[in-house]
Amino acid sequence: MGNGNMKLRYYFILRTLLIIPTVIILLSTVFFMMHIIPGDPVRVLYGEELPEEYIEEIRHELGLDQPMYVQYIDYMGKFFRGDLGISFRYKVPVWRKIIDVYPTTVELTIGAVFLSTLMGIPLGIFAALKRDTAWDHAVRGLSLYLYSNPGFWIALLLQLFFGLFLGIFPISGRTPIGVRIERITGLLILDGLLSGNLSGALEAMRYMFLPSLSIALSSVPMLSRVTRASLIDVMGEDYIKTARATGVPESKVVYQHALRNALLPVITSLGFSFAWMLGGSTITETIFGLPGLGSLLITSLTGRDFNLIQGIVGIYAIVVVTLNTIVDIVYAKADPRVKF
Amino acid sequence: MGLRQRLQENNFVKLYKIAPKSAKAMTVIGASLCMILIIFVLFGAYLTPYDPLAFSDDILQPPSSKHLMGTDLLGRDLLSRLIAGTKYSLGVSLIAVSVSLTIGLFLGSISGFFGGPVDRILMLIMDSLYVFPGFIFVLIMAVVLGPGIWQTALAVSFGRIPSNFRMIRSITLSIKERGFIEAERILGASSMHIIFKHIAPFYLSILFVTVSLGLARGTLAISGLGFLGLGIPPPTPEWGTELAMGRQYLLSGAWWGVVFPGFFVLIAMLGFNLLSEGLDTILNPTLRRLK
Repeated sequence: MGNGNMKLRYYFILRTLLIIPTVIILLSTVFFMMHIIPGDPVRVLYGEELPEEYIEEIRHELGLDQPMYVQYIDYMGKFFRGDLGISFRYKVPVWRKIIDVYPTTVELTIGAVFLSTLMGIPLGIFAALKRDTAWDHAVRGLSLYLYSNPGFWIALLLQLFFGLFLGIFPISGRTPIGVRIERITGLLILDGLLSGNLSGALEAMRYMFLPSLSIALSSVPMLSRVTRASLIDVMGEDYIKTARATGVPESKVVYQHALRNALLPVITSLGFSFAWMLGGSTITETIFGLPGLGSLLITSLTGRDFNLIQGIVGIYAIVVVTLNTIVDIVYAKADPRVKF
Repeated sequence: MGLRQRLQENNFVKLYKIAPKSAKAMTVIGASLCMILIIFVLFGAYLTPYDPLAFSDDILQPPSSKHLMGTDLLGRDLLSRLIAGTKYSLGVSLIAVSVSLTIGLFLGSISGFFGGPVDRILMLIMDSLYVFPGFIFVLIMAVVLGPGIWQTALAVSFGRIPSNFRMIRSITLSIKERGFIEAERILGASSMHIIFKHIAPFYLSILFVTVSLGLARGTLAISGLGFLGLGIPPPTPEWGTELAMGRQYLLSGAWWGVVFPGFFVLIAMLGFNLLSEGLDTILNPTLRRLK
């Protein structure tokens, strides 16, 4: 056993150290992707009619006249010292811009995880308990249908139905005009609750509902499928048979004995679907007019705001890779059968 | 080649017979939906009731017997535009799948077969790219390459390389340890000979599943790019671009401009997803327990 523990610890350390090269590879990929094709960000930003000497001056100021490898080393060095540079377009440090908008994306993602868990896990349990019946096939069909819906179309249909036809949910922005919530953490719902502004928090929640739902709906299929497969797997184990044979009621067998073990892969897949959600949030935030990291990425891409793009992707990379690592480690720790 | 093909066909027929009903149904429905789209691609020009590019005075008409799916802001018939757009969405997706599969095949087989430091470096790079949301890379590539049909195809293909690489590598790894490969090696066959002659046939088993899954993802990414205005530029009728245009007059109550383009994407996605899911279950009977 002692040997196994040593191996586990060794794995944890190795896995954690791997975060660094992974982030470096992701950052380098983005850096070289953007510098291979010599599109001139200065021209895009300041227009074609600006005289050449000004353009040269700006290029020099931004370091764009240096050879690529100098820019690369410079950028990498600064990134790991926490200096993300200045946004070309907004003329503020990239850090400031990211700190301004990240709470929207955090709220959106938490909302999406919450809603997809609320729908996906019960659906998966239901399908597993009704295994191979018409109900099971119906759930599978529903999953495939949801999975095939383009996320941005779902978002637009939700806007159309709940926003325009029924008029019960707002379709754009984070709060109604005139509602002010004191900024403490930047997470409007949390800030509303902390500052005792209950109606403000409720309004913020109402504004976040449709965007969260549209992202959640596209990750429900995977979640329900993993839950189903995992529960069926666990239900076939010997200890479940033992529990049944000793007369434990079926509901207790399912919800107390089986589900606890079955949920481990589900939590893992939730961790991985987070990356998928970040990708989807770019379009969703744009559609719902939410000022988050995703919509900021889109505007910085179209404006060729190099530093801002690299900054956002860098933050994404760190978050996604760290989360994956935590999920892997938790999985290995919780399930001694996992080989690594 | 003829013999091998026949063997594979027989194999498929056999596997199809023992497959569960649901897998058969999925394959058949998925294949039918794909057939409709293929008909749109091949005979679209004869099927469109109007010229997809022609303006008319019927501006923003709701669906009627004259215009089954309504018209857009320039009076163009939406149904005609969407049928004509199938060619672009599917064609670009197919190019993207071919490119990413070729690169994945090349790197994956080398990595899996030779192992060693090359494998370790490639794995580290591909694993890093794999955990990251692929659509963000596609977005960056699309911006860097600029709008256009080929540019979009290339950008979309980039997002699929890591998963194709991983799949090919894992197949190569599992095959290369088998006895008959060892025997070939003892007989003095070259590495390239072994890869192309003896390992490559096994890639066929996942080819259809991978291609249809790739087409689904590709169609989604292309319409996503089109929707953001980063894909195939207007006036080419592409589904995502149509959706973005429909969104502009959504507030005036013109729901058809949003509903129908998305519906076409849904049909394509459903077709490819059903097909890949069904084929996967039929071709891999051992995995069925997990489905």
